[in-house]
Amino acid sequence: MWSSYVNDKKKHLEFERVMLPHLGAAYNLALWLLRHPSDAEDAVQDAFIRAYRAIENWSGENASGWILKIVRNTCMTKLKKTSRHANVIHLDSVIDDLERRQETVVLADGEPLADERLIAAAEEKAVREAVRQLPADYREVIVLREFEDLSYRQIALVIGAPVGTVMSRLSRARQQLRLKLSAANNEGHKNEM
Amino acid sequence: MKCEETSILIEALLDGELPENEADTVQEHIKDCPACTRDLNDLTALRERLHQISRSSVPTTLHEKISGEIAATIGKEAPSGFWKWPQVMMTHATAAVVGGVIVYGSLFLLPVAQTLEEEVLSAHVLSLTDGKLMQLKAGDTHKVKPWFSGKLNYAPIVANLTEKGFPLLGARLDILGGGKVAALVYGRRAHKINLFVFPNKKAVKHQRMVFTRDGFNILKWHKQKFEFWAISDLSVDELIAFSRAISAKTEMQ
Repeated sequence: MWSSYVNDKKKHLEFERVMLPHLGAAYNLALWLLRHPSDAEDAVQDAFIRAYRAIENWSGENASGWILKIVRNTCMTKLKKTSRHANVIHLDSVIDDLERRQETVVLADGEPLADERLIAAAEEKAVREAVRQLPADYREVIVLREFEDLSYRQIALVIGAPVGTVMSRLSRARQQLRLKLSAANNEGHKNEM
Repeated sequence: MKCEETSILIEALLDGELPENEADTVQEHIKDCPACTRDLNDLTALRERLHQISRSSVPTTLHEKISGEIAATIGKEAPSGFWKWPQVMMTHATAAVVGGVIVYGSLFLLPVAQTLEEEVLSAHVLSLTDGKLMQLKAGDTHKVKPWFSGKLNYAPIVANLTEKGFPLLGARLDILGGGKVAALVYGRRAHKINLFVFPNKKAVKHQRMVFTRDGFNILKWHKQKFEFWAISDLSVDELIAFSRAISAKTEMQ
């Protein structure tokens, strides 16, 4: 019976050593997919526990790809479930919207624009928002390529699609981002005038 | 080469996914094509804007939650054996009541029960067998203490006991009770002692407990809001001498 404790303990330590370094990437992906910190936290926790139970299925290579795939699938299942209750509005998103509107007003008044950091923050917020608004299928390839620096092949493994699909989704996602951001820029210029 | 064909290749080029000869062909085309040049510039600008986004930090409790949930499953499948009966006796509440009767320095011999004692034992056995006894090899307390900063959310007490015959050999991080703890490795002749140190503000002062299991002796005590667990194949007497030496140093710190 002691060997059972020792084995479990060994498994836990090994899991901590191999998989926990990818917690940052996992949380980032979940946050971009689910768009709410508490949902992302729950999903990552679920995914890591599932991964621990299924660790025997891991090939021993590409730990980050393997754990991200589980996180991604957990998030996608969650998204499908919530889209069925899409008429329920998340309080966080309402508050986000309110904050965003207030900030737009401040920028339109034109006073604090002298502060470069504020401009940079507004710019970051606009880009963030453009990514947030992408459909989930596009959002995940952008996050994996641009923020996690995964190759096409690695992305294909995580999302379970051929490399060709990864390329076309990335391309469409970038197209949408370019459109959205240039539209936002034009609006910004109008406001400044 | 037509522009429609190039469009997706420009992205592949930017993503570093094109083999060298293909990359050359695409770059050749871009040079002579204003539309594709604009496309490349736009895509580069988009990438720069995307890379401005800072990564959200992981909630501090998430790692602990995951480790805790996993730790809770450890040993769950183990069959219950006869030796588990003292478990009832060994709940911390009972131990505290019993502890009230024990004077400082006196000892309480009990078989090991399922809980932290088992974790200490398995951590000790593991550290000796998997070749990962020490992540940091250093006998100098001034090297060991800073090594823990940033790895733990507390600063463990690290004592130099070389003059007492217990040289500090090194340190590593370990997991007890689902949380990361400091593990200090001391030597005594050819023997190794694992000393686990973590904060416990509710600790009952001056209460030492001894456990024996599988030929190992385990000594647990509290000092200055820290809980100490020492385990070794040394005799109980020598472990007590070790714990006294640590406590004496702790008072000075």
